[in-house]
This record gives sequence, C-alpha cells and structure tokens, in this order.
Amino acid sequence: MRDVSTSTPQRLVVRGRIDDQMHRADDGAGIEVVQATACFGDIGELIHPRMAAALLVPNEFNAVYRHVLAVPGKRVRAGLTSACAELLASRARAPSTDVTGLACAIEMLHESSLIHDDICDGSLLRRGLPSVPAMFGVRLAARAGFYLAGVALDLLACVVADSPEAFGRLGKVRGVTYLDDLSRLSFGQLKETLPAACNDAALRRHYRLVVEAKTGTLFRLACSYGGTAGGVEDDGLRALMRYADHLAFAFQVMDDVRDVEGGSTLGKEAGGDLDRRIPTWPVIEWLASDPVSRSMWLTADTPTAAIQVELMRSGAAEASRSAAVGAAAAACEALESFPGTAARTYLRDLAVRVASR
Amino acid sequence: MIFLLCGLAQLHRPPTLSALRAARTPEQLAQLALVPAARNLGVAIGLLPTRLRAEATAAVLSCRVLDAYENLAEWTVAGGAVIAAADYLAGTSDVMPPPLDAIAVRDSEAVDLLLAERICDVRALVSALPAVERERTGRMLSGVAEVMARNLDSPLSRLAYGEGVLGRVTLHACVLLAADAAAKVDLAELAGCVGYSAQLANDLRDDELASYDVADREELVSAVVLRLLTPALGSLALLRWLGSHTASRGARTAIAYLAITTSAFFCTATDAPAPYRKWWQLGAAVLAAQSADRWTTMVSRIGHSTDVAIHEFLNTSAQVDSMADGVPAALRWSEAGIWSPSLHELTVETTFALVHELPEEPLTEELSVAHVRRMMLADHLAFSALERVPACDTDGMRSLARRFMLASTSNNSSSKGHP
Repeated sequence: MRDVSTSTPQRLVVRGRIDDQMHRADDGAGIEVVQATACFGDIGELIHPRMAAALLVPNEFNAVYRHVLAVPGKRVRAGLTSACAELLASRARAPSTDVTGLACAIEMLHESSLIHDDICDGSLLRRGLPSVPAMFGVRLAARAGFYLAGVALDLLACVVADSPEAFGRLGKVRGVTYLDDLSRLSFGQLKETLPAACNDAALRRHYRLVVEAKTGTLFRLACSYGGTAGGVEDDGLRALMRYADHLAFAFQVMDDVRDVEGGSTLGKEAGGDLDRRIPTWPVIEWLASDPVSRSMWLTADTPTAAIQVELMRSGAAEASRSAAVGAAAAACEALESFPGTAARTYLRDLAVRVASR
Repeated sequence: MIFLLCGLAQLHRPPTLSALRAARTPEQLAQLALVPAARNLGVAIGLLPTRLRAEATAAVLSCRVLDAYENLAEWTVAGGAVIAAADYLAGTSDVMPPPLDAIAVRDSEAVDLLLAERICDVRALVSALPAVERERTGRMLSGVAEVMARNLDSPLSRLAYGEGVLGRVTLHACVLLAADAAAKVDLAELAGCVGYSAQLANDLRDDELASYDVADREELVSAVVLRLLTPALGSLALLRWLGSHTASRGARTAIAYLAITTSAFFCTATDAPAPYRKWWQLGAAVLAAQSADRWTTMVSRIGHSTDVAIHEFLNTSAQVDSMADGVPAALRWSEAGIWSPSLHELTVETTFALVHELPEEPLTEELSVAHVRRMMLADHLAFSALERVPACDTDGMRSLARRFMLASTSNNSSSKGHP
C-alpha cells in the first residue's frame, strides 16, 4: 500500500444534504478523510504500471490498450479493493502486491465491460476520446474486450494461487459473491433490454435488479476479493456486500442524473439513455411525479430534448439525487461494524463523493 | 408398446393413488407409478428396451423417494433422512429412514409420499438389478442424496443444485444408454447442463419465486430464460453425442422424446413455437431415432426453437420490427459439427462465432438490434462459463483465461467457418 505521507492530499467535496448525512457517519475525522482519500484514491498510480505491463505486449491489441490506458477512469473498483483489504489493520492478509494485483484484475474486467458496453450502446465517445469500437472497429473491440477479460482472469488466478492461506475461503462464505457471479454483469445487460411494466413499483424493482447486476457485480467483487485478502470475517464480508450494493445504486443514479443534465465533464454525449428510452431513476421519478409524463414517455416520436426539458422541470433530478444520498448513507451504515481505520473512512468518503458528483 | 400406450394415457390424468397402494409386487408398483411419478420421463423409460428399463425405473423411482424426503420431511431432520433413504435404497444400510409425517399438496408430492411409504418395494427394484447396475445406481443415489442434504443445510445455487442432482441422474442415464462409449469420455459437464436445464424447467413449472428472489411469474420466466443459454448449449451437445453413441433405437427414441418435450416446455413459457406440435412429439422422436440424418435434423430444430424462444423473450415489439438483418443464432454451434465434452470449449467457440459476425468497421452510429444482441449474448455466454469455475480453482481460471486470449487473437479461428 502506498505510504500516506507521500500522497498528494485531495480536497473532499461535500455539499448540501450529503454533508448533513455524512457528518453523522464520519465521526468527525476530517483530516483522516483527506489522508484516506489520498491513500486509496491513488491506487490508480500503483495499478497503472502493472496493467500496462500485462496489456502493452506486442499483439494486435497493443494500440487499443494504449488508447484505453491513456485516459484512465476513476479507478473506483481498484480503490474499493484496496480499501477493503486494509479495513482490519491487525489481521493477517495477503501481501500488498497481491492486493494491487486484485485491484488490477477487477479494473481490467471493468475496462473490458466498458468496451463491450460501448458496442451495445453505440457510444462513440468514452472519457472524452473516441470509444474503442469507434476508433478500432466493432469486431476488433469485441475481441480486445474478451482478451482483456482473459488477462484479468489469468492475473486473478495467479494472485489467488500465490496466497492460498489468504484466499482459502473464496467461494465458501454464504451471501458473498466472487468470480463465479460475474455472469450477472451480462445478465444485467440483457435484463435492461427487457421492458418492465410501466408502473412505479415494477419500474423501480426492475431498475434495482439491473443496477445490482450491471454496476453492483464488480463493486461486490472488488469488496469480496479485497475483504478476503484483508482477513475480513464472514459477517464483515456480508456487510461489504451490502455496502457495495448501496454504493452501486448511488453511483448509477448519479450517472443517470449526469446523463440527463449533461455537462462538459460527462465525457460522452448526454441524453443517450433517454434516446434509447431506458427507464433510468430520474425517468422513474419523473413518471411518478407528473401525470402527463407517462404519455410523453410512451409516445415513440416524442423528441428526446422535450423529455429532457420536462424531466428537469419536474424536479426528478433532485429527487434522484436525494435517493442517491440515501443510498450513500445506507452504504456508510453497512460499514459501522468495522473499526475506524483510514480504509473505512475512505469507503465512507467514496460513498459521499459518488452521491455528490 | 402396451406400457407406452398406458403411459401416454396416464400422462395428463391425476394419479390413482388407490391403485398404487393396491399394487401387490414391486414390479406392479413400478409399472403403475412410473408415469405419475416421472411424467414425460416415465413415458420415455417406457420406450427403452427391457434390459435398460429395469435399471432406469429403479433409479427414477428411488430418486422420487429421495425427493419426498427432501421436500416433505421435517426440515431439521430432512438432510439425515435423505442420506438414510439413499443408503437404504442402495442396500448399503438395512436401517430404514424415519417414516414421513406429511401432507402432500400437489399430485406429484402425493405419489412421492406413497413411494416413500413403500420404500421397501422400491429398494427391492434396486436389489433385483445385476451387481454392476445395482452398484452404479447406488452410487448415483448416494451422490444425489449428498447434494440434497447439502442444499438443505445451506441452500446451493440453482446451478450447483441442478448439476448435482439432475445432472448426476443424467450422467447415470448416459452410462446406462451408451455404456461403452460413455466410459471413454467425461460427459459430466454436458450432463450437468441437462440437469440444470431440467432444474430450470422444474422451477418454472413449480413457480419457484423464492429460489430466484423474484416477485412474480413474469420475473421468474425472465430469470429462468436468461440462465438458459449455456445449459441449452451443453444439452444440445450431449443430445448430438447420444444420437451417434446410443445403440438401441428405443433408447434413442426415449432421448429424443425427452428433448422434444423439454424444449417445448421452454418454448411455451416464452410464447415461442415449439419444435414440434404436441400431437407429433412422439412421432418426431420415433422418426429421429431412425437415422443419423434425421437425428441431426431434430437436434437442429430443437436448437433453432430454443434460439427463437430466447430471442422472442428478449424482443420488444419495437425491436422485432428493426431486426432486419436476422435473429443471431446463439446456439448455431449445434449445427456446426464441432463437438467437445468441455463446456468451456463450447462456450468460447460459440462466443467467438457470434463475435465474428460483428461488423469490422469502426462504430459510427448505433448498431442494429441484431448486432447488439450478438454482442450481449456473446458476453453472457463468456461470463456464464465462469459460473462453473469454483472461486478457488485457479487451474480452471487459468485454463479459461487462456481460451479467451487464444480465441481473441485468432481472428481466423475455426469459429469463422461456422455456418
């Protein structure tokens, strides 16, 4: 793990209602929050060389991965893995190189899923640059995504094999998911394409199912592998699964809000989900709040821009933010059984930042 | 033939429990109970030649007894009772399991309960088998009971349960039907797929909402169909193999009948057309058993119907109209003539057959629905392969990783030649 003292302190962004809720969850350890954010948040710097070494080999995908690594994402999953491995400072755990390996593997699985997502969503931009399928072709992108998943799987196998004592419990703890649950990612992708009945309860349930599968799967994997590496006991691992699910919900809702609101930091075209008529959380809030919204939403030729305007006017974005804040608070609550380490503070801070994007 | 006709007649009638109770011998009980207890499987067993029928009947009725103890015994003792019942049926113990004090809700449970009451007669059917068959059946029963007991102790995933119980029964059937050939190849993974498919069908039939954490029937259908792709792929592979390695025409007819009726069940659940009309299911099975070509036609037809069922389910009305460039055939592998007992090999091959049909050109706008579907199904197949790798099995993980990497870098792999 990177030495905290050499990290660049990052300023914690806390605002509005999030501030109020998180104040209760934070134990008032403001300095620790800054240090923890710096420590685990900089995991990207640790994993980048390792990802580059694994991926930038002389094969036909070299240029693809150079492109992917050029603008790294937020490395949320790597941070989760790393922090979960540090939650119990006193417990015997896997070596830090193994934790970095786990973080790399989870991030590579994530990057793989993003490449394939861009194919499915027809996204031309990713992180402000041309998406991999837009730049290198659809088929090559698909193959590069699977190759990346293979490299991740191989790395994960190496890490697990290297520390049999640390990972002996893998797959044996009830309610805790590992790699054998990865198909929920694609399950969520397919599930998202299925129309839910257009009533509030069904839409909300459908949304949660999709988020748990699409976003939650890799969050849970990051927490389960990280927590196991860190010697977290069974109940603690289950608490981390709850944390991951709440975090995923907050994360996805705020992603949806950003997609509706647009803005220069989005890194892709706004309104894509509205174009595809995906009932995201802001849409569900809009449908629940405005009786006219339903016919607009269900009429195929309603312009996306008109929906966007009405949705913003309805206060659905604010209602969605509120739901994300609630989920972030629930995520923090799930961590209460853990001692007040910098890692726990980081995980709480992460939930706050996710809900305040 | 009389057995078969009686079985077909019984298929859609409620069981006559008084007649079962009145059966005087184990053989008479078996004859009367087989179809009420095992439905289409019972009819299929009726198609087997006599020398195979005795073992199949003993095995299936024994499994029904285990099912009774699993589902109807008091929860705290059920695991031990299932193990005790298996030991007793296999003849490895002379201690009978505790009698069941339960009330059956469904017809099938009533038959199971009655068979459990007459466990001595069912045991006699197993005991009457020649030594090799008796031991083989006993091993299967022990394995099934062990998985049932583990599931009672702590619920297993439906995949682990389906593979462990019905997959084990399927493997036993493979050894029974294609003895010499089955000894030379490890069919466990493919048999597990059949077991999981059958378990999915059972769960759909029984409205097992809790097992899938779903709220209603619609969500259950969704949960089941989205899990069907990989087990369907493995099941079709085994079906193909059994066609060319099962010597008895009656046995081939039995296999075909079960495959046709099971796929029809899934098609009906998704409002998709079944591979054959109901009145022609048995005729189609008889025909398929006549020659290799006809068998291949049947397998292709089932594969196509399953493909259509999955796509029908995934389609929204808007998407159906725009699927102008055709339904991606996810299970097209079944027509390609490539066979492997390794599910990983099959899934990776099929995954990259789908990938190969994606356009090479850079993305400039949203892809057609068919291409998007291809990508999603390829992802789902690939990730589903991971479900079968235990989290601690690093060799299995490495092996699958290498398959992915090799197939990804082989743009001109064998998958390119798929029809």
